[in-house]
Amino acid sequence: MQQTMAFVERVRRSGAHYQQLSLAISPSLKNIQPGHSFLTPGRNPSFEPYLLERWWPIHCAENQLVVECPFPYDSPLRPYEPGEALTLLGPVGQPLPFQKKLRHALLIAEDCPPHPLRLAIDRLLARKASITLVLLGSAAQYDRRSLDPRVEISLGAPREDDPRHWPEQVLSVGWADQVFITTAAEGQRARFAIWLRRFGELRNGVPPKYLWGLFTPTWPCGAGACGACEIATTDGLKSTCRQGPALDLTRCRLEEA
Amino acid sequence: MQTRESFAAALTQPSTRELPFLRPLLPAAGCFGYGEAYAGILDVSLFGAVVTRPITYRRRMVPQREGATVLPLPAGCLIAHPQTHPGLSSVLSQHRARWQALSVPLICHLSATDLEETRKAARRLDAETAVAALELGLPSTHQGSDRTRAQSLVSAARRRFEKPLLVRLPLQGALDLAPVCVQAGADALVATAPPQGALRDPAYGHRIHGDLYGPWVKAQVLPLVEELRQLVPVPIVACGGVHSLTDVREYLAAGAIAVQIDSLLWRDPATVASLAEEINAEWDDPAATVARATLTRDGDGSTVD
Repeated sequence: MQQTMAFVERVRRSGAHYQQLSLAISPSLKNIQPGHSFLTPGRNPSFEPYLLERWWPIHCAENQLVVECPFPYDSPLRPYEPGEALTLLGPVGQPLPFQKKLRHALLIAEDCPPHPLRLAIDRLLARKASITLVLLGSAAQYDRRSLDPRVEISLGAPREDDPRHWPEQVLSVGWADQVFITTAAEGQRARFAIWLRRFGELRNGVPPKYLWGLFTPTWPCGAGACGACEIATTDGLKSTCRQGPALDLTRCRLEEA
Repeated sequence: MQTRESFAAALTQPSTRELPFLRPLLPAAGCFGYGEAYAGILDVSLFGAVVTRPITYRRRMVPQREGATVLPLPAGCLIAHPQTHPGLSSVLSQHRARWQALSVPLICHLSATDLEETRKAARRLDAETAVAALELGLPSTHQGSDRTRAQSLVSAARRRFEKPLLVRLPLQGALDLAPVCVQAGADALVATAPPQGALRDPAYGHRIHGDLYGPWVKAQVLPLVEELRQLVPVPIVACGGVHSLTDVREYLAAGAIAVQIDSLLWRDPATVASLAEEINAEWDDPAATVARATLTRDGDGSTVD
């Protein structure tokens, strides 16, 4: 992790709720991988807001990073403008642990934008993997026009007995070599506990290193210094900012962390 | 005038238990991991010592469905930790080698949970060559703290720990507890642990108690440092709300012998580095005001020319 400066080169609206920022970044930030994120004090160098904003890269090229951040409709903060300089702390976290022979990936976003999965889509398509992206709950409102057309997108079709249902669920779960799930931060452990149980039913057991949850609580430091994002696993306590965000759900103690 | 070297030995009371100490800034417990968190961003030699995250003797896995809660505040935040700890043995096996290689002294922060655990942990840490001093964190609640319990905990640690013993006071009740802790054997006091507060969690609606962080904490701790300086004969290490060079200077001018940096480390480690460089430069310059003002105080509170 480093602390570097970035410059806003271009700003675009992305759907109704987000703005997409193209950032010129330090050459020292090489090798940004899916799973990495950045923390920034954002627009305001003073201490309000105090907690750092978290940005997930959605595209990345040499010395350039594209992120999506909320458009500040209901906040006194103004939108970003080209030419602004920002401080970035990162990359935070570990790369998503893709299998070497990953052919079919199932990505799920539940009640949150699929930002933590966007860079994974780029990289997996480059590896010629097929991707199914499932958008559940409020994630279905995400502007899908910016997603690569090669990605198969499924929207949630909740049923009374299964609020997390989507069409062809059994098929996409059966085909998937690996699954990565991102959910809203509220109640995240309970949500992942439900997902673990659900996949156990759908597959008749969940093998290790198959079902990964992207743990995204608020990270005050992003460095594993504050201990505010730790989760108990069978391998001991893990900082989700430092050793995550992706953790194998079969190894997490979700009910009694 | 005292030389920097002679001052350097006075983080704790002048005695056989002195802690070599060459820089006035330290990371606060719970803000710097176990010394490894900011590797590559912050050079530990900018600090006078490294203070670890709070450690408990036993491993603790308190059943808690949602872990820590972090809530924003105006110019600050509240963090409610779930009190999960890996335990002393696990921390030592994982970090001992790194601690031995540190270029600055290591101060282990021990959460004083109960008497027996405090005794055992203090004995074990006393035998660790990598550990230069112990910072005992007294239990901190929103209702203040218990003097008798504090005295027992400090005495328990003192009897089993031969090296310098610092005691971190809770903000609520610090003036009550300070003389008791000194009497029980504290070589220095850290003022203070983060203040306690409560907020309603917008996601669930229930009230969350936790530690408060932000620049405004300094306004609560600064007068306390001045009062403690008058009240007890041991050095005071200030901790709380430092976000600028002015904050550090004010704490030093108020009588603190050193200053711990807390949440600024999380928010802007680069600012901590530049702040440390500036204050260290002043510290190293015998003509500088801050250094001169501080160097004229001895560890026992007396003034030397």
